[in-house]
Amino acid sequence: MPATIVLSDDTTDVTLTSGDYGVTAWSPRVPRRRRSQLGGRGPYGEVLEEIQVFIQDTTSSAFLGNINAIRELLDQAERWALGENVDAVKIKYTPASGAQTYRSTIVGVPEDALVWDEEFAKSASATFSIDVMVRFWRAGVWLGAAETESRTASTSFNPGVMTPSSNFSESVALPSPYKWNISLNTPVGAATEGAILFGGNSNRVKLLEGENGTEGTGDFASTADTGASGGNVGRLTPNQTTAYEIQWTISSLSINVRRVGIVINLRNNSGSVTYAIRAQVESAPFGRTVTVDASDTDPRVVIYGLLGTGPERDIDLLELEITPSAASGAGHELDIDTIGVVSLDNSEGRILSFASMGQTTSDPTIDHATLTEPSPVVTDGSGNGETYSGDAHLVSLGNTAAFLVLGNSGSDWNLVDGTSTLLEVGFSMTRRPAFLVPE
Amino acid sequence: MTLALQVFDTPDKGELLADFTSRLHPQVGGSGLRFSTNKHGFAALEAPLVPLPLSEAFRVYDWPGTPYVVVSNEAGTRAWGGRLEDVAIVPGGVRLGALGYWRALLDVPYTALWSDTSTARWELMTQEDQGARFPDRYETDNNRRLYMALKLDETYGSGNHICSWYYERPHNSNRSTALVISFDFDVTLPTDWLLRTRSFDSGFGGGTSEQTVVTGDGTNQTGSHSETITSGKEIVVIEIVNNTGGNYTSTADTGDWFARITGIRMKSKSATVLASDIATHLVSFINGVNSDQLSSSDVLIEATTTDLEDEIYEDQLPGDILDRLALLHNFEVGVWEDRLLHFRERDTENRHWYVDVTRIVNLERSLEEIRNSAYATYRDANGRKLRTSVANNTESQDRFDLIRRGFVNVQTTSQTEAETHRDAFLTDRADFAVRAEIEFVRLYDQGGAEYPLYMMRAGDRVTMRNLPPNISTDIDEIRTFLAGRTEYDALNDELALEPRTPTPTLVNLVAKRRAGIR
Repeated sequence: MPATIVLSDDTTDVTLTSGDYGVTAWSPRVPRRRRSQLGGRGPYGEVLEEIQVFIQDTTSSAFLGNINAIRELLDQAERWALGENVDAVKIKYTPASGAQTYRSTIVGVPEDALVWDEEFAKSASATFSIDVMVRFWRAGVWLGAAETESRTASTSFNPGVMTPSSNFSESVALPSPYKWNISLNTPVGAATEGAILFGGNSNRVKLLEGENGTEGTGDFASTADTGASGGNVGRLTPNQTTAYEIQWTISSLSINVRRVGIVINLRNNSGSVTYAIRAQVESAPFGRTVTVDASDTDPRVVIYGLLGTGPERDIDLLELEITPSAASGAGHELDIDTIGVVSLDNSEGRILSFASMGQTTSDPTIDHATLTEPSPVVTDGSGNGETYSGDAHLVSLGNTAAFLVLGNSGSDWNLVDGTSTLLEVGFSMTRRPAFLVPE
Repeated sequence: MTLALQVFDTPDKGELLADFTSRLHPQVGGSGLRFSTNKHGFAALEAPLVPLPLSEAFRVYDWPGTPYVVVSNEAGTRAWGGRLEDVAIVPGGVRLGALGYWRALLDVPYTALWSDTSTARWELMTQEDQGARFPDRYETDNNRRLYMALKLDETYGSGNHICSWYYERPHNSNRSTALVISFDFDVTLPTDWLLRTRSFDSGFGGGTSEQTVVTGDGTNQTGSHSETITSGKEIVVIEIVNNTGGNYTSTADTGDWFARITGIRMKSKSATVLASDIATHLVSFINGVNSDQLSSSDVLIEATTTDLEDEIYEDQLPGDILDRLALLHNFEVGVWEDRLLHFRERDTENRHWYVDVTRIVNLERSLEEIRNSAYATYRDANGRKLRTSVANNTESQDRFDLIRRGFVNVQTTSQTEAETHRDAFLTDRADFAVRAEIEFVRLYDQGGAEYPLYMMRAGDRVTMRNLPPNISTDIDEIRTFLAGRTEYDALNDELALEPRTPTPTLVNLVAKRRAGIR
């Protein structure tokens, strides 16, 4: 079957390769990797596509209507990009093999969107025709057919690193966008805030139990806490104002990791003692200092941030240097339930923070919406906007992924319902493989 | 590396107003994003054009409150955070401008007495202020002391014809704690004349007897006095009064019966007055007015130890107050994450970065400002202009094979103080001020890990590790420097940074002397 190229908003189609249209010349442009650090649209830049289209018809009005049909769709694409309430316009390309249809959203139109150098020709058979260069900006990558994988909700993922139950059928080499949503067996009992760690596989997202930390003075010890992950927390009792060095082993973190992100689920039991925390991996330099104040004695998720790993990239040790403001002893402890570690040295790694997560059974939903919206869409299960921060254009490589949800529910360590029963947490992800060149 | 630009309704992120990340790209009509840091923390952010239809642009223009603008990185932390101050509807969309939360310290002026050792603010009470006050019957002055002396042949009634100096806390102060007064006294008063303190409300109502400091016995009496005034009183009085029970006519020469008050200090707290106390109170004050703009926590305020003798503020901005206090203590002050004010020893929380220079655009020095020989001018008690001896920086003179001499005017009659200023002037001016514009593309930490350029902040230390070693002392002086200001262009992934010029010694010196720090 011949290849087809269609401009479409999923309601109105203009097929450039059949009927009164014919593509006389086209070489799909190949996008470049963005130099910009701005997110929101994926790691590849937009391209200016130019398609030479032969347009004809037997009457002048029908002929001009054929030209106008293209221009109207391009105009709609421009209005969509500006945020008007119209549907997105895509270019859909199906190669001759018919293996799959590739889609790319039209995101802008140059000033000379339709270019022709000649006058309309009228043949002896009274057919009007012209060669037109159709020009538009489209999203750099082509997106293939969607595929969905998921993980059934379970309390073992609250918290716990989740991966899909099955791998994707295709292992993609290019960062490919996906829509992700959490699934909960029941809504969270109290509004919570937290963070979600996104990674490429279970070797790039790690969960460390606080009570497994080791420290030399004896002021840090595993302490029973039934609501905590594993039933224990690591408790630091401040008996000095010099820094404590607490270390955790990170097992099987991917080698050659250049940067990691750290999230700590902790609780300051003191109404007066504050804690300054610095982190390092292996013997790399410490990162910045984060201060845990005494304003709240409930659990909180602290996003520590970015740590470089240096030349030694086979990372299996995390150290937190924690300095109390006063040696106030018992009753002023810092409890650490869990620590999340995610590799951030490729496009997949990400930490998004959320406020009031879990108000329904299926929020948040993080949708790249590349084919439908000018920006990613993050909503709860009822379509209401979520409050979050970070780049919501999630991308995946390979044939799997991994996720870790760290959140508190009021005074509870993890996500619980109104009776403080631990929730079951799962997810689903719908990925569209990305292509620089349609195959 | 992915930066995201989000706008929330409040700093507590109650509601996400907009995620403009994907709209900043040029191919969709955006003009990118730039943000900067300076010594006060997150400085400014500009999104020159966020493409929006007009209806959306008006909605943004109409956002209530003062929205919170955040640039997050892939690790979930802040590359920049501040408040939206400027929204402009421009062709094609909106232009957004935000400033860091240091701005909260420039919102509301502050008035308070903390400590005052000046006698200039003491005034004589008159009968209009309070009955029985007759300053004309005394010889008085407040020239670096409070002086009251009986005049020859004047008659003073018992409990009448009182001489009173008063001090009033600045009107409508933002700090109303009980006043504490201390002073040294040197008195020679007739028997049963009293040197005493009193207090009043603002407007001289509510007169309250405080303490009798001295009861005259005809001989000279000296000592020191300190007391906490009754809470709520705004006016403190030091006065002498005839308490003999009958009229008293002075037959001694004017000035033989006197009270001299020196070393006077008025405070609003009993203990030492510390810059950290002032910083903590300013945080509370600002948070009390605009609770969303600055955290109430003082967790990042480091304790100082120097007792400040002259800190009185009238309608001054907290940011200006803290800038000066930071300068005095060699501290740094600003606001980074979580709207937390930090006031701490300088350069203790900065990070050290390493860069490889790819191009030296400009590296320049000039002889114009050099002065390697100096003297100071001052005046004696009669107003005659005097000059100190000349001080020399021989190293500078040998290096340039040239003597360039300057002088500094000092408002003092003290030779020692003039010489101190001379030496500071010389320290400032003996070497080149090097100006440099240097390009680099990557940022590394000490361990060799590469970081995004925007991770560098003002105050961080930067070492250019591939400059030729020890080619010249100028090179050594710029090989490692502190970043004074950074500006990051997210669209082009470029960082411009300005070195921090060292605080001139003379500025530091003058600030310390005026604050009464020795």
